[in-house]
Amino acid sequence: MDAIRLDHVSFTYEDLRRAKGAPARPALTDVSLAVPHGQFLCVIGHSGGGKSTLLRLISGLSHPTSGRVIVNGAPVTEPGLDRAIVFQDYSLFPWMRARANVAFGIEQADRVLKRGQSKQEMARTAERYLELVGMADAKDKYPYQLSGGMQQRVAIARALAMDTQIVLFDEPFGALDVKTRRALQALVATLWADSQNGKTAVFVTHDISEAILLADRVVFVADGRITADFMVDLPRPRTQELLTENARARQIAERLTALFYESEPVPGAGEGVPAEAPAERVQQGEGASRLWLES
Amino acid sequence: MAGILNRRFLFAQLLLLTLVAIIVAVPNAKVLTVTYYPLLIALGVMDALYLGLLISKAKRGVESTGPNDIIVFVWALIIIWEVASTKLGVTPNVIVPTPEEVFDIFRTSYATLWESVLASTSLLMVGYLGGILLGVVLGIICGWVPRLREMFYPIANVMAPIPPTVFAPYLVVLMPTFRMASACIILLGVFWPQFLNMVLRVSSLDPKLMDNARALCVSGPTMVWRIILPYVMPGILQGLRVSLTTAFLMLTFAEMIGARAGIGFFITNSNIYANYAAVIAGIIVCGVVVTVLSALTSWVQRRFTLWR
Repeated sequence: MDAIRLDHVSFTYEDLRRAKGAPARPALTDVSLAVPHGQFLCVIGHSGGGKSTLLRLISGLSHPTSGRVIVNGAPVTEPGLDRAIVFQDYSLFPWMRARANVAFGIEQADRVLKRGQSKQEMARTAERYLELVGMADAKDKYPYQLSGGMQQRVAIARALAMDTQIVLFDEPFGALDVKTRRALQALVATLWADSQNGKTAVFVTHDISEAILLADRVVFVADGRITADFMVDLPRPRTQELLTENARARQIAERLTALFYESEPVPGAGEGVPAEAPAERVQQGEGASRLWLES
Repeated sequence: MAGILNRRFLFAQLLLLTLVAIIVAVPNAKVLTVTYYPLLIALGVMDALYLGLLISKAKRGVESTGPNDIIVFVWALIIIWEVASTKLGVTPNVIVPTPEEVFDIFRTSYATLWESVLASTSLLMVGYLGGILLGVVLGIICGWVPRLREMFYPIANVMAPIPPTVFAPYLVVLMPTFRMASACIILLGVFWPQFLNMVLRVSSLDPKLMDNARALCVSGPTMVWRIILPYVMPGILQGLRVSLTTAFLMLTFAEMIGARAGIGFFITNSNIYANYAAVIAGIIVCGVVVTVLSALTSWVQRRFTLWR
């Protein structure tokens, strides 16, 4: 049984501002995908291409217009505590200190799944995971006192501490500077190498090197469809140097770059999206211009 | 500590000494029936407050010319008042009481004043806290349920701008007791802005925060206590100060039209008997009460929004 399965999933945003009679632009069209247990899957593609929508469907925050999303054999109807999510921003509640944020995730899992842990137990677990992501010293700080990278560390700690089988990442490092992003990529890579508990991960990104560093498998989404799907057969642990030194890694990077060029973003892409994913629109121009600069 | 003892500080103390010297040593042009001791004690209290403020600022390492300038301004005003009324006698006799007479009211009428303050603040708290509580609870419910929002938001928009003072005379007749009428007037003044504020804040709850909460399967009481309330808390607290001012305005207004107790009544009643020294003393008490309540509100505000 696969951890996650999508059967002919389509999704169209309901956009009230759309001109009368104009056809709704589907965000996803007939997507089928199976993710086996323990796989680290990277979903890569243009902003506004539907990759974040894919993640929202798996998380249960949105529901497919047609088709089915199945997690651990059961159809997804709402968000569940078998899936933890790390968002790009607002991953933490601003009124809770770092430890309280992590503990809140654990408490929710405990309450809903009736695990019956004591408060002290959960607080200890929270601190252990904060330590794991290198944030032990910041446990009594509020999110506004933490940098973007530190906030994401805490968010990752929360997602892991909830002890879910599946962890979903929605461009978690998209708003961070290069240095912080690399540090956090290394952190996620280490955590997945260490844990070996067979956690399944779906990681949405538009960063090619990020995908190659982390993924067992890469899926390219463009204009609402999966246009490529292949394994990243590179040895682990992977380092930043591997990307430039290893011939296979360079080959994969070239292939992904080519995929970005083959599928130029549709003019006006994302216009149907902003209501639910405003962050995507901002990045669209930025991502595209960077690609043109590289050519 | 040494930082406090600068030239500005010495100037302020010198000015105070001058004031005391004028009060004690210069012969009066006006015949006073009261002593100057209450006035001197009041000056001492003011100077002590000023010193306390200076020390607390120095402890926090805040450099500010504010306290010095304020106290110099206050001493200068009192000197002008004292010289013009008591010493030269150039001010109209009844209408402008002397500082000695005003501060003597605190000695003669402290019991009445204290009772007035208690009566006013208890009434104020009922109306103010009731209005805020109602505004927050109903505001959150109406903000959360779209159907209720679409029904009550326009109604609130019509009701909110009507000054509650226009209801006052009628409410005094309608309600069985005057206290209930007053409480209603205050409540009306506080409720609508708080209600509108809550509806807006809850209905504009950040969708990203909602996604985050939904992804954690937050629902029911947890949603209310751990997510919505903390989210709207800054909005509630922001409104507290403004609402307090409104509430006090409504209170004194209500007391002036029909009360038999309270600080507003004390002032109007003194006015009727042309006891203008008592009127000014009452106004000073109003200022003190509002300042204390306002400081309390600020403290609550800081205490509950550490996360911003």
